[in-house]
Amino acid sequence: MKISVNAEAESFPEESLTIREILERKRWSFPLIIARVNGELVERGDYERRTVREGDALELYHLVSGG
Amino acid sequence: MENMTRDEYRSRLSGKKVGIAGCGGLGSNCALALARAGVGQLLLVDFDRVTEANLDRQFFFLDQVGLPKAPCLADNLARIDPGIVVEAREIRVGPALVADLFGGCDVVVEAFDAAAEKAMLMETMLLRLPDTWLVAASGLAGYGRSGTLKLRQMGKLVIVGDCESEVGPDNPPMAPRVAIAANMEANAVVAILLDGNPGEEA
Repeated sequence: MKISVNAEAESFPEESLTIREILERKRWSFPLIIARVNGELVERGDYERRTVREGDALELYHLVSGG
Repeated sequence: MENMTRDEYRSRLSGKKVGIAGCGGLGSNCALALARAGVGQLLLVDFDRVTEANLDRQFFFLDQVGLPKAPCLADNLARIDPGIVVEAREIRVGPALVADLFGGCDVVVEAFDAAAEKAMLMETMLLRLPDTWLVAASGLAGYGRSGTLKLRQMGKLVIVGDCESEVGPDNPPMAPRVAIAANMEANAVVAILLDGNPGEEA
């Protein structure tokens, strides 16, 4: 599948992957992440269930303390 | 960006309301810039009090140490422009309060310190107020590396910062870089209010 991750094109051999699987592929182990698929928030408890498919736009933001 | 005279842009900003969630390094400096730019209404929310250590980067004064941040910030902004309508709320923002607090705002600025609070506000705003612009910040500790502070936009969510420089005991927030991030937030707010987008070239 070809998807976009933070507006950059990426392709994966699988037809679909969960958010959790994509985070593992990208070695993102950060504790606080905001994830959206096609503009819709994916709640943190749903990363194992929500799948991403061909053409989807995935956004991943790492939140760190400081303000 | 549209070409406008000073009077035109100030007239347009005077009718807008911006909510500021957190009045620390990000929120106090962001509110300062928005007040000077002429935003007509500001809602300032913070549960905390000014400490002496806060004076290393936050827009407060020595004689305000010990006092609650939100009303102190309102006082400081009134010394710049007493015509701004400022509402100061001394409360801790939880998910149940977000929609009631920020529902009337044109733009909300996420200016919390802790990553968990940032996530709470962003998630709640995206679920409960998805049509309200949210300008957030992540990653601003330390010094130097000005060019790594970027603005990312997807829909009505804008995030400024480098998304990696976390504050810690050996990587404290410092006035210049925090103020750059705070002013990037304020700059995005002004562009959203005037043009309907945060003003970055795609």
